[in-house]
Amino acid sequence: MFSQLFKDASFLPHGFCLLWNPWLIGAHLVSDIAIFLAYAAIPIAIYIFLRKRPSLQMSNLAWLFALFILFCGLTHLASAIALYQPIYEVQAAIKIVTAAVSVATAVVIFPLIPKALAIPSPDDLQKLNAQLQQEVESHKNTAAELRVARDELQIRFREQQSALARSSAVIAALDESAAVCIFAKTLDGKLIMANPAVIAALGRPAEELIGKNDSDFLTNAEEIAKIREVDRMVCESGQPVRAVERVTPPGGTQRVYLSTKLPLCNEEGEVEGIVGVSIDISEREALMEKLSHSEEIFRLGSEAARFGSCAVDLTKQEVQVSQSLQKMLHLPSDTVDLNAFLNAVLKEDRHEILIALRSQEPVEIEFRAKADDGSTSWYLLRGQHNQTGGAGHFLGAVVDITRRKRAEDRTSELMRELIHRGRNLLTVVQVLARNSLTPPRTLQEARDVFIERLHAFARGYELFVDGDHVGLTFRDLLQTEASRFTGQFALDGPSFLVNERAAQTLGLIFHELTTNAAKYGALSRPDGRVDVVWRVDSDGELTFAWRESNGPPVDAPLKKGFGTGLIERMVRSDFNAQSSWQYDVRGYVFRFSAPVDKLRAASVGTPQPQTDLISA
Amino acid sequence: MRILVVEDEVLISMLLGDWLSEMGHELVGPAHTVAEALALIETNAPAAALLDVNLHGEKCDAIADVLAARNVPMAFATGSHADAIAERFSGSLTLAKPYDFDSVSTVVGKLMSRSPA
Repeated sequence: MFSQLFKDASFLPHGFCLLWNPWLIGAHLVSDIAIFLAYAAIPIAIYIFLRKRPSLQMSNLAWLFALFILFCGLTHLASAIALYQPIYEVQAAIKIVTAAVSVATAVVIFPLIPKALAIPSPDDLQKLNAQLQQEVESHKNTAAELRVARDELQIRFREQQSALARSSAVIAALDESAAVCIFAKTLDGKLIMANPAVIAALGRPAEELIGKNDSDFLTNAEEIAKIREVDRMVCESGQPVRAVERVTPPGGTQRVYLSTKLPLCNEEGEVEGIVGVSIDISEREALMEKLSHSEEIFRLGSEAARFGSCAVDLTKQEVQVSQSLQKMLHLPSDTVDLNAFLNAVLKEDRHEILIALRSQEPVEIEFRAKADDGSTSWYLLRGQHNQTGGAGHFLGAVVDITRRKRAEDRTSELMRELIHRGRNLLTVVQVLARNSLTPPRTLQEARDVFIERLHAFARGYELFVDGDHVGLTFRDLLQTEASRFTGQFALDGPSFLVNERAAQTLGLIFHELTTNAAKYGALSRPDGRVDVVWRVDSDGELTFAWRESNGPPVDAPLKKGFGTGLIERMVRSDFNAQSSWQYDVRGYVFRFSAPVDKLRAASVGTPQPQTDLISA
Repeated sequence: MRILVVEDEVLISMLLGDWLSEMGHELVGPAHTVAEALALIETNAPAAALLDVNLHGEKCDAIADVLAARNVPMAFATGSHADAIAERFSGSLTLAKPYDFDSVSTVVGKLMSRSPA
């Protein structure tokens, strides 16, 4: 058919149909060429687009569409050529192809509508874009927060790392330190870790220690028991325990350790063992012991010497006293307030003490306080303000001077008594003189009697001056008289100290008895005897018997002599007792009985029974 | 005149007794204790009395009270400050120890003038 078409060249150009109207021909020609060019340009644009967007969905449709446009353009080109050349056969062929492509395009395009609709519209895309933008923004914020958190974590991590490094350094230093023992043990007491100090302290190589029990490398059972007791406390309580432990390494000397033991816990918090840190405090302990020993000596010495010390803080109104002073003044503790201290002092002396404590000069005062037995004790306070401690700090020493004071009191009492006695003395001498210097004695005899009586009286007087330290006993007084007659006296009775008044009285009585016996009785013969027997019974009654024998025959005298009268009166007056004379054929017998308390010196116990016979 | 002597020092009482005899008086006693003195006042009815203030540490006040009640004049012998006379007798005669014959004689003379007998 095509060959038919081209063969038949007898057709006229399309211009003829248009009568070659130049306007009309021009309009068709220009329009068709413009349409062709435009239609030809579109596939080029699609091609460029598709090249640049290879991911475009339905690219095949695009290619089909480009072909369809191209052929539409070719139909217009064919129309423009047909104006001048009658190529209607070519034009028809082009139109047939164009129709085919167009139909194919139309057929393909409908089923693709839902697919095309699924492709988001630009509006949707914009919204989507905005949403995406928002999300991006929020993600950016989150990222910023995360950065901050990460920075913080890094700082903390660095801090912890440096803290860990420091601890490690300290532990390493401790571990290497010779002064601190660090060790760890299991629950059953096996040593699992020990630093060089432990190894050095125990004096054994590490392999003999690690994995071993205390009892494997220590020998003192008491020490081991104590260590185990502490370990047990730590494990049971789960708390740190501090204790003083003693360890004697075999062949070494005992060391004292201050140990702190802590529980060693696993991740679950269960106690698995203990960690211990021990410091050797042996030297300190030894020093403390020495110190407390010397303190003890000082304390005992102070107590024995009845010496104490005090420090008074006047601003705080507080007094610190030594242990000995606390005892002396019966204070409740070694630190008391000033009022409590003053209360221990007798009311009358408190003011003086206050003045002394405030004095800026060194002071020395005596004060009184009540003693245990309710009596008054005397104290001497000597002290001054502490030059270095500043004003208001008084340091003082206190000494018990009660004995000295009592001696002083005794002395002044003696002085008063001496004056009193001195006044009587002249009277006594007068009496003795009047009764001694009497006829029928010759002057010589009278003088001797007088002097002897004076001596007898004076013996008690001397005793009194000597006070209660050197006393005369009942026996002493008899002995003095008996000593003049060797071998003629037998003294038998208990020895006891007599008081001063009794001494004077007994001195005169024994003198008069002896004098009478020497003059008229047994002692006037060389073989005459005097037996003196005295006893003190359980009721405290003294019975005294003077029995003469081997003397001349005796008779009751017609008139009582001075001596006999004196004896009777003195026994009655001074001993509140009665005396009796017996003029036995064998010799004189003189007796008296009196309460022994009248004669005995005060503060002297019951007389010692003494029945041995003493011959003088 | 019957004069009671109360004196705890035996030797002094003897001396006083001697002196009173020399002065021509009759001695009652001497008493050495309060009890003895009170007994003697009952039995011997003295006309005057010489009292030692301190009798073995015991005051003579009980004796003085009895004597005062009986209007018997008395003199107190005092040796020291400790022998102070009780206030109610502060106006009485005193005899300071140590005494001698003359001072005793003077006091006895005053006692005689006060005695109602």
